[in-house]
Amino acid sequence: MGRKVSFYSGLLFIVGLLLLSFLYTYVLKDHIEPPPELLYNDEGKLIDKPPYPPSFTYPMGVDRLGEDVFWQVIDGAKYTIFIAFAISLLRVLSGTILGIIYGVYGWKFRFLVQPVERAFRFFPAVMLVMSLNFLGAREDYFLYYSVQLALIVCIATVPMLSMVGNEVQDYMKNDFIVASNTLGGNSFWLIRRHIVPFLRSRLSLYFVQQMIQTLFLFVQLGVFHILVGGIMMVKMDDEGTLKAASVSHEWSGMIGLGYQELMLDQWIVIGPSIAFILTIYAFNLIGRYLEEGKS
Amino acid sequence: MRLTIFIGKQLVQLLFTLVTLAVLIAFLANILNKEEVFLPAFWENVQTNLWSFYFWNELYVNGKEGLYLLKDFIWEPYVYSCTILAGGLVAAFVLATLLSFVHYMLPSKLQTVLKELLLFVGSIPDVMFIFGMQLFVIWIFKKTELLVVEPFGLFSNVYALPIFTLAIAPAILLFRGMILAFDEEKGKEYVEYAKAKGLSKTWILFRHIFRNALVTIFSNFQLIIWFAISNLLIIEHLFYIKGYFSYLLSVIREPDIFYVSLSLLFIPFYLLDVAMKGITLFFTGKERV
Repeated sequence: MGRKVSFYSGLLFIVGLLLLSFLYTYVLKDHIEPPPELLYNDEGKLIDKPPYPPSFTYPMGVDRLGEDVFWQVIDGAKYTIFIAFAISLLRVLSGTILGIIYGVYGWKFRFLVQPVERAFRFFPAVMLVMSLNFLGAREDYFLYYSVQLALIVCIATVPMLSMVGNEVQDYMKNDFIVASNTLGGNSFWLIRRHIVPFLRSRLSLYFVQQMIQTLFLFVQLGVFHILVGGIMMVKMDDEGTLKAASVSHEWSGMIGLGYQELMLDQWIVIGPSIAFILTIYAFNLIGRYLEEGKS
Repeated sequence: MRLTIFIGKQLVQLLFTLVTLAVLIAFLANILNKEEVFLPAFWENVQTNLWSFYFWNELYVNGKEGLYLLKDFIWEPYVYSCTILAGGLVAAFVLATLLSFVHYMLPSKLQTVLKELLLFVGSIPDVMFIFGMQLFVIWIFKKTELLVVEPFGLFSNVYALPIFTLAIAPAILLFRGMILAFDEEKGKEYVEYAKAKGLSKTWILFRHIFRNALVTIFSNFQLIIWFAISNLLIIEHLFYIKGYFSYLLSVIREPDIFYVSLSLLFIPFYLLDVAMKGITLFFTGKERV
């Protein structure tokens, strides 16, 4: 009972966040007044200029460019969650399909697959994506971002393939599979009638697990200024000092690029951090329900 | 005989893993390189990577003041990072044991609360732990002029905060593993018998359940190492630690040196993992994946 409640509250949180995010972009954006450029008190005296600390009007504060952090976070929610969604989907699809092939046909080659899996797991994912920044040229943006996306997918596909392969192999030891085999069912029949239905029930769990992992990875990438949501340069002041900023207000970018301000204006980092923690917690609640079943 | 086969198998696996790493790094080095044809350059890079083991004594790294011999240069950061890693793992183990002991002793309602709390703590990326702790230390400093622990590694080697941050994630992972293993052992006959003999809960936990659950924990060692290593990278960056990962990032443009350095980190942990597996095999007679 309690588990079910937390499952639905997790789901509700994610869906609500996405809805609010779309609502903001298409409707609310034009109606919300931007924070004032200078802040005066009742007597008309100048008391503050951006960045403002968190207050009742601006729950997560206002950043250096005079934008409300709370609405930035809401705006960034859809990019963050949908990019993570796409990556997790690709990971689960490729991992499951390759995993079935590995578990049914390629089990003889596990002495080869296991070392590859170990190498992929040992190589820190952040470094894998970073090496792209250093080793290759960044001229062709489309190529750059697609290779980056492919790498983020691949780094998890290989461990996932191995995990699915192991589960398939375990499942194939069941008596009814052995019986089906003896009665003349070939491997393709087994996959279609037994293995796919078995894995179908587990796919949603795999997906949620990958979602959590991807979000964790986004935070780490953001710290190293690798933004999955794109990067742009913004003029900071009248002298034209340039500063990198997250194009889409995608959360990891906001955290990574705001880190230099940590000691000055913490709220610029704290807003997206809270968003990350709550989202990951929501997915954890969903994942636990899927994992432990309806108990 | 069984042991020889086991060791032989593991060595072959080690070799294959090292080759895979070499291929992976060579692939990354060439994937965005437009000046050369992909395949020949890639193949040459694979060869360079693998040969660099042989020329290990003659490799040089760019340091602050010119070139350094690789083997002299990496020793200090290597020891430093390994200290933090080892400290973190020990701390994680102690923390997890304490937590699962508390969990075991609590009434079941509070057990749920503890689990719920840890699920939430487990949802916090360690980047934010680091932010939080650095801010907290500085806040204390501002209030009391007392620097409890060094929050950055700019001027000297810091240990306390990095080790603690590193320990959190693996500790939660270990705790979950321990709880599962405890629950599995709890229903077994020898525990029932011990209870029937009138032995106390603590005694049963430490003399019997804990010892048996340790096997499960040992066999998960590799997973925990992976976890800790990817977090150490972030920790070194955010604490400004001049450790092995900061060094690795600085040589990321030189594939062969990067490869050798990464392998140097991989090999000892692999051997440690094999030792753990060997112990499990010796005690239980079954090989866990």
